[in-house]
Amino acid sequence: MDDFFLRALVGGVALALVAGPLGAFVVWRRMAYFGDTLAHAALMGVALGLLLEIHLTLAIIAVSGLLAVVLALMTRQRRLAVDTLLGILSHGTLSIGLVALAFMDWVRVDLMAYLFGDILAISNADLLLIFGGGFLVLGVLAVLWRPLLAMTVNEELAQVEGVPVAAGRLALMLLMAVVVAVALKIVGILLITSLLIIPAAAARRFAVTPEAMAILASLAGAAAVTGGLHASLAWDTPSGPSIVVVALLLFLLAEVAGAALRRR
Amino acid sequence: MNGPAIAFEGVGLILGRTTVLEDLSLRIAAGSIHAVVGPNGGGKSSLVKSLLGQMPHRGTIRLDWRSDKPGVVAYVPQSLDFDSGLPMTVEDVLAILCQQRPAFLGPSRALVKQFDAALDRVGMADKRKRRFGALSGGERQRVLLAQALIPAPDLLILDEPMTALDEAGAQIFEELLLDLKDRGVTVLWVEHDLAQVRRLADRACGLNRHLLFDGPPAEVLAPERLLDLFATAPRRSLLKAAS
Repeated sequence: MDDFFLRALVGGVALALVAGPLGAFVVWRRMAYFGDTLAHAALMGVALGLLLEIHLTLAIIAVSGLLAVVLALMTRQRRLAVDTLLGILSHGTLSIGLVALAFMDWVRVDLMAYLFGDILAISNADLLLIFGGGFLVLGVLAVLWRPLLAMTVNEELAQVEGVPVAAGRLALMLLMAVVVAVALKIVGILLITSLLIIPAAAARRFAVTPEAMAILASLAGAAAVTGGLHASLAWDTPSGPSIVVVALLLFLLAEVAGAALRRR
Repeated sequence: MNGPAIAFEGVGLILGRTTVLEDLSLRIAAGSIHAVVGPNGGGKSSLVKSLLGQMPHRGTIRLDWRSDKPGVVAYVPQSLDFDSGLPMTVEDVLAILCQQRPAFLGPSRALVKQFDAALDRVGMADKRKRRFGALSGGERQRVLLAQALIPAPDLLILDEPMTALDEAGAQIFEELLLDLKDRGVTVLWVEHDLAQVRRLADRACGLNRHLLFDGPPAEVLAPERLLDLFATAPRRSLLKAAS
């Protein structure tokens, strides 16, 4: 097995394990569009990173994190409906990123790699970032698991029970920002959210507890990454879409199996 | 511990360009059942959310507890807008909301007894292992009432708790409310069913952005007052009377 492929596989599986529990919250809390917005903003982070010559992952975390804070503040003001706000920020930041990159004629950018992932581009340093970011996200999620679940049942009730809801909401957004940043090279900007949503959606058919759903989502994600990367290598297809197609097949399989089990 | 008195002083709330509450001053007596009535969009739920600290309101909202240590505040929302696929049983939901330790460890023995007692009180004892998302609206509402009883509350805030309840559920709610009153619990109760308010509340206030009236239900819920309350713009004379 080639080194680059092994790096992509290890990084991708690690990413899927982290995306499982986080994706469960994205599904339960209906944050799919929010995830897309963060992912689209990542391209602005890429442009900023290239402009300021700083590490792209850090630049993406900074931009996505800033966007999460802006969103948290603006949704509190309630001047605009949340999905309208997300639409503006999502497409606005993606377009700013694309225009800024077009102006930067001194750097050569493989736009397709950023948009759809490129397993050839994963270095050992990227792997370290994926593991570092992954441990951070899983650690914070473990600590915040109960309060976040309480918020998922009902935010007002959770607040009455002493959960700092605004801080919890922001923490969840920032965790998503970290996952988006470290997932960029594997699945690409346009498909990052699918790694959060599809495995979790497949897992919900079989899970009897929230924890079981998180674990099943991680396993489904890991299977999708493994299958997708092998397909990408075998047929020279872009890694991100290949992973998503396998995840989609797993989801359909889970739906059919779930329906069959229920009919028994 | 008995329930606190609640003082709203000059409370205002503006969301975007909409004035939701304007210069509202109201006092809820300790240990009383105080109902809040008014039209949709009149600011009833916003008042509750301001009390819970979830709205960026102006003015002062003060809880005057009878001892130095604040008591237990419980809240029953109007409904739960959550993903029905969330894999949690009734017991899991209670555990998530009522205990600090991780949910996957399950509830402690002491809590299990409290869960049993609370679920029994709302007629849901046999459904504790049922998936919460599979319950009917009325059953979910009963579970929400049960969670408000763990631990025993001193202040209970109810936001239209009877909306989804059937007749048996309404009867349970009524018994619960009267029992809490006997124990000196303060109850702030947002409700649209005026007949229930007349029967169960000690006082009722009418809210349509402004406070329009506040007094014993038999007096303030007269047809003339209600016409004003549910009209789109409150009459000046009534505003004057309330101030």
